[in-house]
Amino acid sequence: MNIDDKNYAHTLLPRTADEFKKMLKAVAGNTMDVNISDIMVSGHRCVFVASEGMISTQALSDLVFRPLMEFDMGRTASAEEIYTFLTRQSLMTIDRQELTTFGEVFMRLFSGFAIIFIDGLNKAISLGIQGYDKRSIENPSSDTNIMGGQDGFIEALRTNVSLVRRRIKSPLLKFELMQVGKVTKTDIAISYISDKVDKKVVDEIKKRLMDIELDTVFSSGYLKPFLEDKHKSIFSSISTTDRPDSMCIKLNEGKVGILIDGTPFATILPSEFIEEFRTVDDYSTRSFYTVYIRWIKYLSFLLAVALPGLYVSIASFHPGMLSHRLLLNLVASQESTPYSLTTEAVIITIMYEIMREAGIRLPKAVGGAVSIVGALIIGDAAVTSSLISAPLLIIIGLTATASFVIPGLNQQTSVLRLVYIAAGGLFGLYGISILTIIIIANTCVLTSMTVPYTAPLSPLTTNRLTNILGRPSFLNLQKTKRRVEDLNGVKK
Amino acid sequence: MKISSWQLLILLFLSRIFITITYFTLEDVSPSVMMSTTAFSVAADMILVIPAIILYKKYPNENVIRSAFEISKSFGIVLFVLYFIFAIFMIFRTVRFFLYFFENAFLNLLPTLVVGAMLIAAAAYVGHLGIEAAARSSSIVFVAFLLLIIAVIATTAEDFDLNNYYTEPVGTNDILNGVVHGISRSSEMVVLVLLLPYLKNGIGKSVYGFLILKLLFVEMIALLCILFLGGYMAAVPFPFFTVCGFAKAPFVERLDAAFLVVWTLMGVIKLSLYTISLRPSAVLLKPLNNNAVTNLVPFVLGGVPALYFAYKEQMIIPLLDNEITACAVLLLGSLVPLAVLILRRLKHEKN
Repeated sequence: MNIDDKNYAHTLLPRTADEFKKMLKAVAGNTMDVNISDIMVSGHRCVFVASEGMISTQALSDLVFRPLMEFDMGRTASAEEIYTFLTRQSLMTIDRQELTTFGEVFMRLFSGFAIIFIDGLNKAISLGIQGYDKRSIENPSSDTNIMGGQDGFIEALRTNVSLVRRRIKSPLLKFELMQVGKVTKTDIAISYISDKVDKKVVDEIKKRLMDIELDTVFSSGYLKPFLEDKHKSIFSSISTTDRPDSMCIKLNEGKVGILIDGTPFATILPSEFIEEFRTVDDYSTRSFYTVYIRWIKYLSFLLAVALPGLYVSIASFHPGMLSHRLLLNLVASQESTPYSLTTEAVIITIMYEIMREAGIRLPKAVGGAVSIVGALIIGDAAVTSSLISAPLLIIIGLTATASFVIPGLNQQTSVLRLVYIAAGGLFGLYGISILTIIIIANTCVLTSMTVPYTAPLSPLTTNRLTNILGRPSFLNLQKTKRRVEDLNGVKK
Repeated sequence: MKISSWQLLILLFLSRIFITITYFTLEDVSPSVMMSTTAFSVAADMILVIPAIILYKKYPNENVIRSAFEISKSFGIVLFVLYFIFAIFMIFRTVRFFLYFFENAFLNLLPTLVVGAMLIAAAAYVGHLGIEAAARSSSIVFVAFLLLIIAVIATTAEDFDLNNYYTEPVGTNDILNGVVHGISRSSEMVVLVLLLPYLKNGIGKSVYGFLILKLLFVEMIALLCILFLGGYMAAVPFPFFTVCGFAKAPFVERLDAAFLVVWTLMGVIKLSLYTISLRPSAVLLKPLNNNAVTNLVPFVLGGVPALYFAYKEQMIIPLLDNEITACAVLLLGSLVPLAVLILRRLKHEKN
């Protein structure tokens, strides 16, 4: 039978070991990481295939080779007898599967399974003895907290699955495995709690994922455009987290999580705007403090987005709003600088973004140096040499600090800040107003799987307003069933 | 795409209250007459909306134009043209009103054409996003409006003079004028009969909730202006704006700029409603069934002349607030829906 890299996926396995090896080599070519060996098991010929670096050599020797070598029937065993031994009589590994096509063989092979083909049978057995190197579980990098769990997702899908499973021991928590990416065949696990989730949402997500025809999938960013609804918005109705506890909380609300092999972030949908202001710590601290911190975060978001724009617009177009003393101070500081306030604000904002980006991309040790150069040398020198006014530097510094409070919205705040400066600098508060209504509408149009992004504020879901003002008490949480589908504005 | 009764209520309310905070004056009547005629005008509204309520209850997924199409296609087309012209007229009127106010309240802040073009572009964008975006945005704008009102009341309360409010007997002519004046400012009655297919449920809650909220806030704003400005209210062109200008908060010397922000947000929502309301019926007519066409044509036909008149500094005051507008609102907001209901019933009986 002719086999090549186009038709291998559905080609059935042959009966003989020679033909199996030939066909395997025809597809895999001379790739160095596929090891093919002939072994004799109780006098019967088998073919052992594994991908180098993907399996555990310890597990291979203890769980596979030793039992196979010790399996001796005192005569040449038949293919069926070896097959029965491998599938029913041995305890080599729990994760074993019968394979009938080359597509299945390659999928399992490159997922770290060992493949055993038995001469005379047109099927093979895959044995899960994965042992590739992976990062150990560490603190989450982007969503740090004080009181909650300190373990974060890593790049290995199965480890991430276990992190979630360890926290939700219910059989109702499901993980459905599928592959996306025509070339990469990336494993993804769709997870949900079956009695909390809307089954139609899960089906829709699966349908959208199956329709993806990308060659490669390396992170959640590859999937997001296919999972989002059609409207283009600056915000995303799909969130990501690298915290297993955070994912569990969201699964319990009836949301769906998608774990992608190779990325330490879980994709969660549907997602609401208000979620960006919630942290696991909210549920570990006293409620009055949670309310206080929640409102600090709202204020931080507004400051991060609009403060420089408001400052520029008020100082340039509506100075009457400011008290005389403040106005005099501003005028005095502005007098010595060569540029207009808007130009200054744009320059310093872009400078800040350059330094922030440099700080992120550079190695940690050097990243700190960039901050020192930016904050102390350039900032101080710019004010001393009267290139930039001191109040504006304070405003931008405050804005930058505020933006760190809501890391999940960092992309949006960075861009909106600059747009607000432009709108405020060119058109005053009128420009700010027009921009604001455009952004509000652009955000409000966003819906993910029937749930509006701006819920529960708009459409208003009164019994979920505590989620905006602070957090619901645990007494309240145990009494009410909170499901994300209740946020779509339809009363049931 | 459906919206809740609360969302419809807020949309209609913002659209109506935009007019009140823009231009609201004592003219030649006493405070008590003005406030009582406002109440009569709302009472009249409550009667005029009855055909719209019946229309929704009988045909919940149809607006007045779709119902007319069920009677005959030509009747439907005629009505569509009428409502289309009304939308263009209202866009013209709102943009011109907005620019007139802007020119006078915020002297030389920005070139008029730029202000108008930005307003139209923003409204066209919101209109393009559709009813759900507009409805959800309106809830947020409503909160901003409430905060403004609270801030203005809190910061001006110590300057209220109760002597500014005095009573006078209300005559029949006053009531009639008040009702006509009120109807002429109630283009929402027309928008309502077009927005009906978007409503999930609770028409009574929406409509009567809107009218009660409107009564409450119009009277509140009137009282606020009367108590703060007294006799000056008749002399200043924009009383509420003037009150905001005098309001002084701890961090802000005056609240007129805050007024500008909220007022602009409301103006955009109001304008977008006119094209959104046309969409359910436009789908029946080619080439207007194209979303972009339905959205852009009224803004071009209504907005560009408004910009032109603003540029030429021609106000056309009589066109903005008169009996003709009241007649149009009465006809399209109440009489036409009533006629459609009767004709449809007759057709049903005939069949």
